[in-house]
Amino acid sequence: MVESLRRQIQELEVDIAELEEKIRAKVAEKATIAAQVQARIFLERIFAPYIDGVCQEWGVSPEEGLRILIDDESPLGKIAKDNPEALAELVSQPEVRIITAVARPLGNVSDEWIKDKMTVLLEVMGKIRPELANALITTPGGQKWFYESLTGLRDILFGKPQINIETP
Amino acid sequence: MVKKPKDTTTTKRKTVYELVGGERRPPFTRGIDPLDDILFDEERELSREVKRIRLEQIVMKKRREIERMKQQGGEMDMGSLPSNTDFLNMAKFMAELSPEEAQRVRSAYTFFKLAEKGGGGGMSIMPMLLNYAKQNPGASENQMINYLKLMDSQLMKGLEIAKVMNPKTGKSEANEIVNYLKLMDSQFSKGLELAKAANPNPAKSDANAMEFLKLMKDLVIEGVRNPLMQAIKENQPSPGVFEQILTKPELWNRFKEIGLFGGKQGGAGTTEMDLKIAQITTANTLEMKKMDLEWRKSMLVRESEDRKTDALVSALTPLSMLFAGPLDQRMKQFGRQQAAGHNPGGMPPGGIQPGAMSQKNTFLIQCDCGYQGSKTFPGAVPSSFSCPQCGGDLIVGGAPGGGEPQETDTGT
Repeated sequence: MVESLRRQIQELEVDIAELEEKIRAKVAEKATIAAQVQARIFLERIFAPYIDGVCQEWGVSPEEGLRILIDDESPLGKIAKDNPEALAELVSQPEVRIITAVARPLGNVSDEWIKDKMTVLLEVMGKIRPELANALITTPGGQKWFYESLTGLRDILFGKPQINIETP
Repeated sequence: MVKKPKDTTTTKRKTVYELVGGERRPPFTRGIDPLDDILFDEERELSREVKRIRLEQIVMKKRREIERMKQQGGEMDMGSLPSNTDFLNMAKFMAELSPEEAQRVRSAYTFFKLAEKGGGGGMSIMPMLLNYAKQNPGASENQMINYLKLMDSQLMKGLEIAKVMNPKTGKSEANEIVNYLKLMDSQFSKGLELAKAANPNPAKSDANAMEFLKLMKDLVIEGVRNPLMQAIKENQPSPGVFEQILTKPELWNRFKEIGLFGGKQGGAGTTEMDLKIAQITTANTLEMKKMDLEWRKSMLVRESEDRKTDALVSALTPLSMLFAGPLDQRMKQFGRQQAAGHNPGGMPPGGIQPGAMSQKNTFLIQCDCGYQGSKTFPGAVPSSFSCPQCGGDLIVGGAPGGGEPQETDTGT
């Protein structure tokens, strides 16, 4: 009986070790995929058009506009905050509400999560808008500006997270 | 093909667990896991204990055999004591004496036995006394007593000398007495034969003989047989403490309980009950561990089959594409609104003209703090600006080393 129990326990331990490894790999993979998808939505649908609008107004190329904003230390969140009426109008738009609902998990990510996933976010940016990604990487303070812009927009669109929930 | 017949005469050796009534299973082997090592040690301990008990049983059995043999030997010696026939012959020899002589002999012997203190003569000196009475018809009672004392002292000296020359245990002393009695018996028989030859009509004085026989019986029992039995009993080797423990189950169990014979050494169960308790405890522990692992496995299986995140992620991209056009327009409009209200670095109202960005608006910065980089001005170039690293004032168009930025030739 004892021998049989020991055998069963050994088998269970092997199964559990395999399952844990499988889950660990799967969780990491899902987290990366989710971060990439959500980052892509955010960057492609929110960040890039916004920069395009800014640069269009200023009459500069998107990368030039991005460098100006980086040098001026004016992240997107700060600019938006300075114009609360325009922000309120934007958020009330149905399409904006839908897309913010779709990207809702990003509203719960912590500042640390964004910092940790900066490499992923820049990779996504490199795929959808290489010139913007290049400007962010090469311009001094670019990554810091990008981080502050993302956290600022997250707070504007989703509200500042009350607790830092680590979501994939 | 001829099959070799199976040898059914040889029996398979039983394992320790089978010997103590436990389960049939292969012996434990060391090194598979720590639990195996513990059980292996317990099994070895149990094996040692079984061997020890078996050895003790063999020793006990042999000792009992030796004791039985000794006892049988003793009984054989006791059987050589004067028989009833001998007593009868002695009585007949007594009857040959005159009533006065017979009375003196009885009195002398009785007095001597009563006054005796640990003397070893006993029955052995009776034939000598009779011979003395026969050879000395007029001997008084005191003379007979003196003779008995003399013979008794000589007998004791002889025994002491024999003991010194052959130092044996007390039991041998009793055997020597018996041997001496045998010798005396043979002498007594010879005396009887002589008496018969001297008196061919022994039928007279039968009544005296019977009376003497009764007396002799008591004397022999009290004076010879009882002391002899007492001596044998006293010289019987008493069992030692260890033997007493082995022969008495209650003592054995008590000493096992207090840990003698390794019963509690190292906490390992060595008795059958200890072993069974250890087995049950181990089985329970393993059962608990198994249940815990099964629960954990079920949780992990459920977690591994979770598809919620997959569904969410797969739904995000199509949904965002659905609203791509309108959303882009909204965000661009929002960006323009923000840019109109925000004028970084002296941006001219209404923006800069197309192509103006390429005209000398990007500068190479070489600050005294060691910072080197570029700075682009979308509109009119300011006369000075702050170093991105140290915050010091930099004059546009100044020479290197003087805190002034240099115009870059990148053309951006």
